[in-house]
Amino acid sequence: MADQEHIEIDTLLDMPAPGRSRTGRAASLARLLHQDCTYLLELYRERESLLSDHTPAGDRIVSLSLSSPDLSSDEQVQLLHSALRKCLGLLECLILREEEEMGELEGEYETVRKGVRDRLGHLLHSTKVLLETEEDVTPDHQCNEEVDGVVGTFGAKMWTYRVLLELIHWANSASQTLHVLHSEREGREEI
Amino acid sequence: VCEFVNLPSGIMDKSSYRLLQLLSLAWLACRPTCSSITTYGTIIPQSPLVEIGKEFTATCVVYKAAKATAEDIYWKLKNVTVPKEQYTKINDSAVSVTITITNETANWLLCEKKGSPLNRNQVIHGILLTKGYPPEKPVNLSCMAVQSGRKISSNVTCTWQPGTRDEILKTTYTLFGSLIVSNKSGKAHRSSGYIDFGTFPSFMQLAMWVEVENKLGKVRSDILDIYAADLVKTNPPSDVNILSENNFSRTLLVSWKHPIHVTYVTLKYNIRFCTVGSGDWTEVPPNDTESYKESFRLQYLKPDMEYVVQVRCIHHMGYGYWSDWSANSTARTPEDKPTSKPDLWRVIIPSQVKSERRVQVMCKDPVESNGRIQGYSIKIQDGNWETVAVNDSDLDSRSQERKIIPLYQIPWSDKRRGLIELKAWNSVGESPQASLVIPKLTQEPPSVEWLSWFTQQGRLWVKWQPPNVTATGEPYRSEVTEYILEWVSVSDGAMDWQRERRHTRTAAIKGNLQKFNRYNISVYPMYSGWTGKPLTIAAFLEQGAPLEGPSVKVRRTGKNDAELEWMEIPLDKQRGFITNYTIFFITGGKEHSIVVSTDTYSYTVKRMASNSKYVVRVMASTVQGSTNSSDLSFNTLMYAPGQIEAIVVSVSISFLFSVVLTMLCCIYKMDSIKKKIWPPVPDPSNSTIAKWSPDFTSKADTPNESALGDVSIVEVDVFDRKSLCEEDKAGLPLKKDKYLSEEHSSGIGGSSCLSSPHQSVSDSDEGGDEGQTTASTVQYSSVVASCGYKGQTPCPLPQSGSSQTPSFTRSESTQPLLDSEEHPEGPESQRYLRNPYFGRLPGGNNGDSGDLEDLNQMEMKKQGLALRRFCPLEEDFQQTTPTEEGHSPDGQPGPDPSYMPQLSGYRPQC
Repeated sequence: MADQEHIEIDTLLDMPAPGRSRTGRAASLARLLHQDCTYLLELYRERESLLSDHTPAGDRIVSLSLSSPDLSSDEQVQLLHSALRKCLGLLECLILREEEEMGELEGEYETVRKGVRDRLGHLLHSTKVLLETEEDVTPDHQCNEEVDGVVGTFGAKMWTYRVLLELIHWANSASQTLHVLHSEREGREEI
Repeated sequence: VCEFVNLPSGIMDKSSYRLLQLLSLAWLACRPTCSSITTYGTIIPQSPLVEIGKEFTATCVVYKAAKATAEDIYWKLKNVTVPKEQYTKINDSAVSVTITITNETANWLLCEKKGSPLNRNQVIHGILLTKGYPPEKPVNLSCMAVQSGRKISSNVTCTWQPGTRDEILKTTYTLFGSLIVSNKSGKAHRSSGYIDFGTFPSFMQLAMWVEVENKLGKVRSDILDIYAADLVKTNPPSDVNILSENNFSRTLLVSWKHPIHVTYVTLKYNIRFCTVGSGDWTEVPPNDTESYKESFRLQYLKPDMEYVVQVRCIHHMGYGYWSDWSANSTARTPEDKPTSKPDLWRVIIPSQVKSERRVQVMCKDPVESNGRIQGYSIKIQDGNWETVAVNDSDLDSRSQERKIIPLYQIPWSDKRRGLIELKAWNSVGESPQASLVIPKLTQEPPSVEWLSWFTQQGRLWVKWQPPNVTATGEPYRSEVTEYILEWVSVSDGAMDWQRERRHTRTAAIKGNLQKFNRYNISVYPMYSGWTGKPLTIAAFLEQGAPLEGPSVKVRRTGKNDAELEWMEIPLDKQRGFITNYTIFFITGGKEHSIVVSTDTYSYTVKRMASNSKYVVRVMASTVQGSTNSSDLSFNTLMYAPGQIEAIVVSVSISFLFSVVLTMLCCIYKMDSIKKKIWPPVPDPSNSTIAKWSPDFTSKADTPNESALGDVSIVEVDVFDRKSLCEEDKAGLPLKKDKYLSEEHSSGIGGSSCLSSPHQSVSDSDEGGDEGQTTASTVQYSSVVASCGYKGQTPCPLPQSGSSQTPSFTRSESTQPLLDSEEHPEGPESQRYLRNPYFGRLPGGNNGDSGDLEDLNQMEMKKQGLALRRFCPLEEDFQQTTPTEEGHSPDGQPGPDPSYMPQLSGYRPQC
């Protein structure tokens, strides 16, 4: 799953840099978020060396599908927005849990983790602007939902791993979706 | 509590102020006196904050205790009374004043009651004015976010331009940043501040502004709506590396790494390069490096040249800020064979050999040497190519300065024309060939028409007029192909040259010329390699005052003039063209000056005072200043040259003339002088005795010594000496005997032939001192030699026997004889008595002889002794001492006849 994400990143970097339009900036932001999430996962792997050879099992935590051909770009963005809200909720839970376990640290992992959270919030605002609706940008997740099911430290770490992968996945999805949207809107949107 | 009413300070509009004022007055009027301290009134508002430049109104309310009405109220700003025109009477107990607040307005505003003539004004109340300006709006707000690590820093730093007025009041600055997500703010300084967004809001839109606040208000700058990308300034590209590739002598491959991940910002780049040490950057066209790349190939570079490369970056759309330039990265391009000719030149050195020059061939590296020149190949006329290797120490092709390399020095006949060819070579190959023709001396192509120079912007420029050349069938082509400018430093002889194109008329000297140094600049027109005649001019990059003054000396001083002479200042110390010399001469505290031309090296200062001290100096001037020589002192003469000589000569001539005149006079008056000096002496030859004939034998004639009581003394004049000696010589053999006989015989008078005739005075009466008294008793006698005394003798008698008989004569003198004569002491005494007038006796201090001589003279003077002279031949020079009885022959009475009878009379005189 991680290798797959790397391939997607390389593909993303080959794409032309989006412009200064709202979609362009949102796409660039999603790309940057994806980069940050990937880096965060690297840091997590470094920190939790035990997990470097394991791949967490299970389905997606955020089970929304953007691949339906019937969805328009706007609908895809709206779904994306919802997925990102859930991701933000998961990340908030992750931070809360890690801080409960380890306290408030100020290492590189924690800095990047905070950056991902902030940037995810920026992206939610950006997609909200794109949707031109009064979408909620608050986290959409109750922390006790997943945590209740996690048993033991290993399970907690695997859950964190899964959340980070989920963030990478949806950041990548956002980047691609928004890039497509940008491509569609380019020329129509005032820069 | 009763005295002050706290009112809101600050700025308020007039209506609200009025309302407040009325309410306050009503409250104050109804307010009972509640303090034991007597108060006379109050001012509204209390301790106000007033704005400079605005009007301020205050009201003074007077209480009853003040016992004053509104008419008695005066306002004062500290000690200055506010004019009444600014007062407004509100009612009988309240008066307001309106003043304009300025920087100079006093801080205290006082309400006073006009006092009586006996009392001073009474202060009712006072307030302290706090002055200030409202905050000014900041302008030119700009913000930046720099790269920190691998991402953009979350701190956004902003700068702005604050107001220009002094901040009298405490002022706070706050920087605000608004993101869609949240608003942030941070305390700022007067012109800068920052906001920490936690995470840099990449790709988000921001709003930034500054708020400035003090007690007089709050103001906000214009809001800076900006995209995050516009704030970004990344680090410069990292790991800038330059790759030099063989066989690509004119390219360098530059590579670098992006300073930040592309997801943060997509960059474009700028590349610039220059040769080491030049600092003259060349920028690669931006279009060539717009794309997001990490390498670039620099082209069209020079071979074997070290280059410095720098790279910077910015958002690919140009948003934000350029990064700083990367650190210097250097690399050298590979060598290539020289692609331009060496700069061939020559210097003609005059030779001592007639009709011959010496040619010093020299060169500089080709401009495009493309590597280190290892040597040169030179060929002169039809000779072979010769190689001149260049040592590393002699040449450093990597230096910017092209050194002059002396190659060859050869004698060159004036009638010889020749071609010099030269090639340079490096490790890769040979350069194109340079050639230079040295024409015959008589065939040198013409020079430029004229040549001038000027300085501009710190450089020395040369301007010339091309030669007027017409096709005349000369061996060279009649077109100028280029010019060579050659300059030689006069101070150290260093020379250099540069080439200029054929159409150039004005050129700046490219060499490193020194200020104040004289250069001889020559322009050579070149005719397809033929060197034309040069035209030379002296020039300075910058002139200054001479380094030293001329060396002055006084060549000649006169009575009223002096000739000064000075040497030309050495050329290397002139530091400019000498425009003139000024001669200063000072005497008696007055200074005079004379300006002379630059080609004058001696000058005669005239109209000087004689016998005076002068201080003189000579000042050399250029257009930039003057320098004096050292002072030189001298005195003018008292007399003009020759004046003393003339005086001496004239005095000498006068003296000589007077001497000559005196001598002539003496000669003319000799007789009379003689007579005065030498009184006439009777000539014995004219005496009566001389007429006697001495024809008697010696025996018979020999008078009895005892009988000769009286002997006359004969004095011989000095003038007789010659004849005497001659005669002595003639009769020397005889004389000896004769003298001896005389000595023997002259027992009376002691006269002999050898010595002067003696004058012997017998003095029978020692105590007698009067001649007259003895004259009657003493007779004079003369002894006459047979040979004649000094020729006075008559004709010599024939020699008979071994001796001649002297004849004696006796006079009838009554002069008493001296003891000496009466007692002759021998020949010595006779000799000493030879010349009593002129001769100094050798043994003058001989008492006897001296006494005798003196005595003789004394006697002669006293008594006028009659002397007899025996040589009638010299009667002209002989004078006999006159005696009382006798007279000189010249008309004077003759000697007294002797009482001794003559036996045979005198011999006939010759």
